[in-house]
Amino acid sequence: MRDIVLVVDDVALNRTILSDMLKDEYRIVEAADGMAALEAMQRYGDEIAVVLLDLVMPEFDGFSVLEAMVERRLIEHFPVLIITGENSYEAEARCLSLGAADFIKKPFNPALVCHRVRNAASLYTYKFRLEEQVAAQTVQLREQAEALRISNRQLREMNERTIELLSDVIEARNLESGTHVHRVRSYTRILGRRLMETCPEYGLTEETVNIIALASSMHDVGKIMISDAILLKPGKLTEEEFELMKRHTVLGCEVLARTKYIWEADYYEYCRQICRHHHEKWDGRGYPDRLAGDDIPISAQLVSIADVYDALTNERVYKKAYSPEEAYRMILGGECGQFNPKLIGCFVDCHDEFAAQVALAPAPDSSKEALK
Amino acid sequence: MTLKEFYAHVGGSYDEALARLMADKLMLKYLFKFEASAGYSSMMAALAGENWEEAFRHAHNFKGLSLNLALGDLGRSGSTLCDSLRSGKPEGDLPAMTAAVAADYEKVIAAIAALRESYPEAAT
Repeated sequence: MRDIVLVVDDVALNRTILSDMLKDEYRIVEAADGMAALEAMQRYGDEIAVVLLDLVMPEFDGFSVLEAMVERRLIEHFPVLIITGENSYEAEARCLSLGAADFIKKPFNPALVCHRVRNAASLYTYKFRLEEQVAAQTVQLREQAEALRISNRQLREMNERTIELLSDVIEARNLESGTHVHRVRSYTRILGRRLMETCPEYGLTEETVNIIALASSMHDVGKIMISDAILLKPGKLTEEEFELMKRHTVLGCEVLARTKYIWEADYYEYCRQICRHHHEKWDGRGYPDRLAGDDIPISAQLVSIADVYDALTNERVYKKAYSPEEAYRMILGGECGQFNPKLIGCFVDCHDEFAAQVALAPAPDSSKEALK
Repeated sequence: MTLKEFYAHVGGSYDEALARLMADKLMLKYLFKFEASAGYSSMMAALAGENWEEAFRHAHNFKGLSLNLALGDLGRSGSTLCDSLRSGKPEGDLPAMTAAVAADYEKVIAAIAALRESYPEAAT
């Protein structure tokens, strides 16, 4: 409760006159010099509504009190009304520039002094209430931001776990080897980072490249919807069977759509683009939508090269594993379809890194994945 | 001596004093404390000792109190003396200014003594 008026004056009768004027509305604390005033501020703190300060006092005068209040940041806490016989413009300007709320000259009119005290007190009460509200809201906002950060992280973890889970499902059906999924993820990340550095027009960031790399694991999730008779067929597929096989791109999107509610928007969108479009070709001769050029989402373009490269460098039932150099030559020679020339540029830049990944990988297993 | 007569006697205005001090009772209370609070002898000692800084501080308080109690002549002579000491050393005819303050002060103190006799209940 701010209900104290601190009256600072070295002349006892002046303190008495001011006290008599204000004692019906406020508790009065008197200080006979500047040091006593600062001690009273320390002692009564937030109970003080207003300080009435004389200027001309022995030793520690009113200016020194104001300066000490500025230094100790007390001037922000108490409205100081100067009451003085000084009538020079310089004294008034100096007090106001030090932060005094008002400057009252002697002889003063008591009714006006009471009004000014009330005004200063209510103005500061309002100011303090605002500051308290702002402080409370700042705390609340900080807590909300923290809660958001935590739930955001949980959501990301959930997305990552969902991707891992679906990768495991694919692997469990032996549709892809787990190592294929991980290698495609590595190639996608290597290529994505290079593209981010060399082609800013695609707007990639470290974060989006990471999400695309993670989402690449979903590229063949649609194959869980393809019958074993086609999927696990040891020989070459008939044209009709191949048409059914190509549907894994569209079916993958259906699988994702059924779990849409658990995905964060950007994860979902990258997974969807990759599932549907990772078999599109730059010249429009891919599937399912025969998209061409940069109509093919860049995420799907990245995964497409990564997928083809991994299929080439690993053994399949219908083919042997090619060496990294052979795979490199075949991709550049257009034997696996047309790719974005900018991406081919990145692939050329990064091929050493790709080849290092091939060398790291365990011996190719008998995955039934086919280069289609 | 009534309060009105007192103020007329010291060259001030009862109406101005009432507006400033709100009630006769308070006026008397403050006037009866004036001598003890005004620091007159300290001011005179500082002037005699040519301690100008201290003399200014005392003159400043003396003037402020005289003006606030609406003590007409004394408020005016006190202000003149105070202003002459503001720069840190006296300017103008200091002995004349000091004599004027002394005369006005004696007059006020004598009149306050008369008031004490007229308002014995307030004087205690």
